[in-house]
Amino acid sequence: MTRDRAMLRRAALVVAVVGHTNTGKTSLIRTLSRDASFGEVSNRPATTRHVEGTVLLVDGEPLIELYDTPGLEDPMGLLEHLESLRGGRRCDWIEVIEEFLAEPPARFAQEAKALRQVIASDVALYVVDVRDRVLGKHRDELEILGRCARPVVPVLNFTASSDARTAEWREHLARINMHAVAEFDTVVLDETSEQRLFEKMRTLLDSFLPTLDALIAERSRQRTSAVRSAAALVADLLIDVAACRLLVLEQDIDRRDDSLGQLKQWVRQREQDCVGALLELFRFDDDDCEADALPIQDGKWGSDLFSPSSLRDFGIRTGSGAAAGAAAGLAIDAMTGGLTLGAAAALGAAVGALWSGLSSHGRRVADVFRGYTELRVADETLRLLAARQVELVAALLRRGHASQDKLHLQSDAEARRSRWTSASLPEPLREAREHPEWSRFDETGGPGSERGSACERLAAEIAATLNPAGAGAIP
Amino acid sequence: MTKAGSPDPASETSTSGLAPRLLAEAVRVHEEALGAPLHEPLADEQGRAAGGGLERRIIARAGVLSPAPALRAAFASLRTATHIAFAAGLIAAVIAGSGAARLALGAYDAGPVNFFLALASLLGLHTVMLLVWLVFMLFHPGGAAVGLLGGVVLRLARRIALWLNHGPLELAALRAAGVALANPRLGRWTLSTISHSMWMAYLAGCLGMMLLLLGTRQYDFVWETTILSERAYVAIARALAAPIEFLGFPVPDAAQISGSRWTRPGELFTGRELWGGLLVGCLVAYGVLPRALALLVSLAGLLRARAAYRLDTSRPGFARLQGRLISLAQPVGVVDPDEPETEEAEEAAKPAAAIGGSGPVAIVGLEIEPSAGGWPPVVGDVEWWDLGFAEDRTSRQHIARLLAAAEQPPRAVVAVCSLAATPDRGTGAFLASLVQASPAPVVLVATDGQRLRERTPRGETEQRIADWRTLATHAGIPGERVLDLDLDHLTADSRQRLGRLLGGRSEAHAAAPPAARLAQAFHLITIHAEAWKGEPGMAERAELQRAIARLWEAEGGGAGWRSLLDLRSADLARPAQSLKTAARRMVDLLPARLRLDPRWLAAGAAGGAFACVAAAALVAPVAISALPAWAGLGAALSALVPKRAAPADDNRAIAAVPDLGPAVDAAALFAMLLALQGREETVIGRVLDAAAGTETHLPPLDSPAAVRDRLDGMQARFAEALAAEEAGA
Repeated sequence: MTRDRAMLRRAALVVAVVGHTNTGKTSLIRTLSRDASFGEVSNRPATTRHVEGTVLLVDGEPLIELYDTPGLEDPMGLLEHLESLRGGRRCDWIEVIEEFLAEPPARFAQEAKALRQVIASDVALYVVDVRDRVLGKHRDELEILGRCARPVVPVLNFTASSDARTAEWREHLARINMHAVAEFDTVVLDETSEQRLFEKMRTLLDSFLPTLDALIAERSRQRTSAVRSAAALVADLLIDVAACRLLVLEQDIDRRDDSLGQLKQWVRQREQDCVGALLELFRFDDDDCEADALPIQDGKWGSDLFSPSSLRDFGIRTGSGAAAGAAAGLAIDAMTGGLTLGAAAALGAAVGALWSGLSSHGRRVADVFRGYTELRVADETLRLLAARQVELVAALLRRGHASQDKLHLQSDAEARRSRWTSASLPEPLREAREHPEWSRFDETGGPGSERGSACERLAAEIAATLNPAGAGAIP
Repeated sequence: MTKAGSPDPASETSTSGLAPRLLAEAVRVHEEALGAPLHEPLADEQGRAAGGGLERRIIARAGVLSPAPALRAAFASLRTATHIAFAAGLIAAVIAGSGAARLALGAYDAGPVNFFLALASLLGLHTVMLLVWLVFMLFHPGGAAVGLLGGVVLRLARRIALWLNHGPLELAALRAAGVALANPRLGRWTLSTISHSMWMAYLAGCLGMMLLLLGTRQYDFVWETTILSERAYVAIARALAAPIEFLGFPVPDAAQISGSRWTRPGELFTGRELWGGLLVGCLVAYGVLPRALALLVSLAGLLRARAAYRLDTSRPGFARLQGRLISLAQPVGVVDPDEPETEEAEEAAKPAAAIGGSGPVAIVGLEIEPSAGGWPPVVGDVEWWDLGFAEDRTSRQHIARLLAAAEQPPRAVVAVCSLAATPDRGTGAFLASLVQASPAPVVLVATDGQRLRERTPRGETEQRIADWRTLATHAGIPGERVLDLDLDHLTADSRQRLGRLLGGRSEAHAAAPPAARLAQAFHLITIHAEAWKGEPGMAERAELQRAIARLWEAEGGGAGWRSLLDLRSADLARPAQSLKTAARRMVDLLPARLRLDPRWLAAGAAGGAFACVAAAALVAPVAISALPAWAGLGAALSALVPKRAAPADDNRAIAAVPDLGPAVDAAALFAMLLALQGREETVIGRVLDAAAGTETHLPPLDSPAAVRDRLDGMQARFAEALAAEEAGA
């Protein structure tokens, strides 16, 4: 009942996105609407020469109408024109602007489109490239917008850039009484700053509180859900690969290349499936323009999972005497059949776990007696697999809608990576090592309740590395 | 699970209730087993058309997917199996109940029945289990103990279902039911309901057998005690009997109770019908009624849990459907279209009058920051008339006034704009007014190329320069008067170029032609390569670059290449920083294609870094290996060269063939850059692009002969590209 009432009050909010030419107005809309096909983006002036709109939906309900406008290219000329229109009259500026819009000179056709849209909207977002200094043209633009009788929220774009002059811009905006300023880098997507942008709009737009609240809630729910799903997908992959093993008869040890190839091929395919699922989860199209922001190409990891150079690329140190050739990336576990004391101790505590450990060990001891050698995916490869997938998810999470300057993300990425490349493998993975039946590589293997719980614990750990402290915890 | 999916056909298309959700869950399990969602655009379309939230759309899609009918059949068979298991459980409970009653009353000839023992054996376990259930529901609602019997029945149902059919879809249905039951509310109320049903059957069996026996046989009821007093016994019996009497059952009064105490065998007992009534009454009041109440509560809970059951749409199998089923935004298209541009009256560009004569050169900065080299820049013998910076309307008007009021007209006006800024109509209008107001020709110098490169990693520099050129042409400045010149990185050559354009005295260009100098440099590389044993070390590479730098140094233009790479001698004291700057600068000078190529990216970074080392060694001649710069070298390089995906080359890392390639590439790149210094950066980019060649997979360079081959090819391409550029200019 209350929900219905809330729905009734949720009017669609009309937003005009304005700014100087080439400051990223279209990029802002692309990022907010998660629609990389919206409009046209280039690094040239006057790429957008018309007013184009898109509606943000929540569960199919239109909540925010965003309109992209042509850039204000000649604000000095326009301001001069407006002042001459007004002459010595004593009237409100909005009247002068309406007069201007009734019959705009051809010279200001683009500016007229932008101003017309501002007046038809509930709020204007003024996009600024903070890598620029505050120049006369910007002051004039703000002055013109200030005369349009609509609330204006300045949006500082490119704040993640190294030559951003955010403080200078904030100071200037405060001087002209614009205090609700949002920082929003359209290149490096950051959900917190998106949320803040909506919150800033909310402070100026009382009547649209329910609309903006609904949008904020939905966006945060989406992110939480995306992180959880992505972590679950990666965890499932890792458990599958950690658990898989191949039994080879000792006397066939020289002819094992075929079966090695088979195991490797399975692991590669499994990784590819996971990449496919992740891309779909994040609504990623192959022809997305931001494709080069991702560490992968054409939906695939370019380098082979089992190649030593891939390990090096991710800074994973291989143990001494890492296997080369066909067996690279695989570990041979012939002597003990997995019955290393450390592994058993890791299983130890709970009686239930001990029992399952014993029964699984029993089988494996029997295998060893029957002359089988156990082959499985090496720890290093597992680390690489985890690091690659986590990196991909992180890139997908932060994907803006323009190219990405990797340098700014580097320190973050290093920390994330080191969790997988140098720290010890998470406990659920070590557990999975003892349970070949958890892997889908085993025909009869796959989901089960114990595997499910290991998967969940691992997913929680992955989700934690994806959410650096302070950036929205996962319940 | 028993009541999973009501069989009425209406529910097959509806999206509310448990059945469609179970179906969606089963579809998810099925799709996850397949590895990817089924590709059925029609079903996706139906899902989208359903509207509402993601869950609703998922359910609608699942309902029309091709495996849906088979899954429904699987659920039907699962339901049958559950019914069988449930019925079996009920029958077993009835038998157990009647057996318990039979045992409680004992054999016919075993003498009188101990009333309280019989009651305890009938209701004891039942009451304890009911209390356990209650305690768990109240204090530990998630515990498994809420429905032990329910669990047994469900396990039996699973066995039966698997025995009936065990195709992949049946397994999916079974697993989906398991997922639904793992939902805490649904699971515990389902288990509770089944458990209570079982106990009700047990009590019914009890009651039936009891009535049969009491109706057809004659039992004597007594009570016994060793340590309790008679009074206590009477009180207990009366307390038990009071509610039962209230229900209308015949019960013994106090006297009859005390009279029923067992004394000796063979005695005659009275009040049999009263004790029998009390026993049946206890069974109803303390067994059937509370159990029925619990059953009703559980049923209500089950109904509510079923209605409240929702899919967990953050499960990967569901979440990944988002893209197909729900759009975040709906484009509304163009609402105010672009009007076809009214062809602006093309300003007839003033005939490009030659710049000459005497007088100062006026200079004005357009929305730029003064360059690091000072303002105005030092260019040969050019005498500047500084008009300042055009930032806003006031300063623009001020500059126009200054120009108009000039006593001695300047021989040229240089407008300096920043490549980092986007050319806009406002600037265009100012340039046009400048051309109109200026008595002398206007030259546009586009600086800040480095800043633009830092901002646009994808190499849109050429486009930006072309845009400025277009703007200038529109404003009446001919193309040849637009100069791409980085004022922050002025070299002797570029100063000369600007000076020539401004009509200064043309200094004799004594430098050797770049191709000849490059040939010397490449020869040096070959000589060094011959001396290397295996892959060269850092010191050897720096030594080579120092030798190359010396070739140009000899001309006295040494400062030129250093400023090209941002190497100021003051900075060399901070090696780590300047190493990084030089490496970065060199990489930035590379054309986009080479910057994206890992091989050239690495060569550029190394070339820049070693050039920095070479410069340090040239400034303060010491042994290269003694320089303190080495510490930062690795860091400088690794910061720049991202770990890009390398081709799958298992064998390369293992084969220990020395590869001189990286060292040769870096040195060659450095030499080519020195040969090109002073030219427009776009020209540098184009020539380097051509000289680098297009081969992507090169064999490792392992012999001096191979080195010579590669360098020869590069040199030929370089000469060709440079010739083409000069012919074009």
